[in-house]
Amino acid sequence: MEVTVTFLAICFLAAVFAGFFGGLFGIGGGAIIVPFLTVFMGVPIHEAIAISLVSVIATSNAGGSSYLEQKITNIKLAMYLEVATTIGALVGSVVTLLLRSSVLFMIFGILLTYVAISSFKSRTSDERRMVRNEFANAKQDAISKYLGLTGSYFDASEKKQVDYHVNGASKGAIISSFAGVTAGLLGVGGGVIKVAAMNMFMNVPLKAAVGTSKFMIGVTAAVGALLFFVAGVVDVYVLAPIALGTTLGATLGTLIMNRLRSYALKVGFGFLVTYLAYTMFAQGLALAFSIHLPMGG
Amino acid sequence: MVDLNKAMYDILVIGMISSTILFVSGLLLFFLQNSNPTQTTITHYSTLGVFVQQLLALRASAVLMFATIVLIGTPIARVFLSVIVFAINRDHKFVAITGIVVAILLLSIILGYFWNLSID
Repeated sequence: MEVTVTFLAICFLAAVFAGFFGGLFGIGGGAIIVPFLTVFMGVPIHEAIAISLVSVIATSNAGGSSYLEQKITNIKLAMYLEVATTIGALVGSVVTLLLRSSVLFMIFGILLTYVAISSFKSRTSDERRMVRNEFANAKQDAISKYLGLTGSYFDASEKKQVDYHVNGASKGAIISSFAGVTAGLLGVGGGVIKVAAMNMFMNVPLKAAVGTSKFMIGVTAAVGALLFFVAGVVDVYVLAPIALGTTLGATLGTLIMNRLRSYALKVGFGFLVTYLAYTMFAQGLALAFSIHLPMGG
Repeated sequence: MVDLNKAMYDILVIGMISSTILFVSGLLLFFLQNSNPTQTTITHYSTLGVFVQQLLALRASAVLMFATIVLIGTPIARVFLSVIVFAINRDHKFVAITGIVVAILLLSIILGYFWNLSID
């Protein structure tokens, strides 16, 4: 890699952009960084995934601490789901050896399509559930009750304290373990599935899910990042501007997230997941049938 | 009772600030040490001793490598810290849960190490 000021500046700016959306939606931003590095900067795919994974940790440190300061993060819920995501990340590396990657891309494409459709369909549900106080009155399952998984945050756009009782703990854990698999395997998508699992199946308001996911993704990514780092595929000269950019971007994104309406966040999230689902199908088709869609890698 | 939220916040901020300072210093050192556009390759250190030597000599790539280690170490450190905080607060259920996460992290490091050996 030829390191020049221009090269560093372009990487930095792209990373600010990725970090910003990562902060806003509780994801790592690998979905933006991996194609940027491979398509525009000519970085080989394995190095790009490795750099992306390490930069996800940078956004999680920056964004995660910002949401802790805003008291949006549910630390206990994060710890509980981290058991599932880290096991998933570990299983992911074994599964890669057994399944064809084209099949995996297709499975995740289908999963993400479902998440995208649900996000658009449920775009007003957070506000409606807040008005009806459904988040606070939900009946808890045995695990959530045993672990005392409840939470509360101040919603800056609704201007009120939102309390919630977590339920669906086992369903949430199973879906979160898939998040770990994708993170370990594809370098992208971990945060998207965590946010969806918490909001759609565990009675967690979207903003609390975003804050909690942002806190968690650092640990999930660390499992893979460590592996790549030990194996020596991380180019620190590309990583440096990316890590600095995503740190700044994530800080900016987390500062405005709570002021936005849940409705707007859901629609934005829906578009993001639609794009992700498309890239998964495109990569799957390219691998299985050599059909090349634009930006499909 | 130790404030879990505060403890987690502190360790993430310390990790973020120190890795940021190291990345910026590493890049500045790179431009001080190389006047013309330079082709870089992925750096490998044969031993830990060589790495420490390069780091103390303030070689740009060693400083950037150290920044990366601090970065990756931060979330791992926060999992370890949370076990300690839960233990001090006598929250035994969560000592167990976080303990499982620590065990899986260690297992993946060991697996990664052997995987690394097998591809060499």
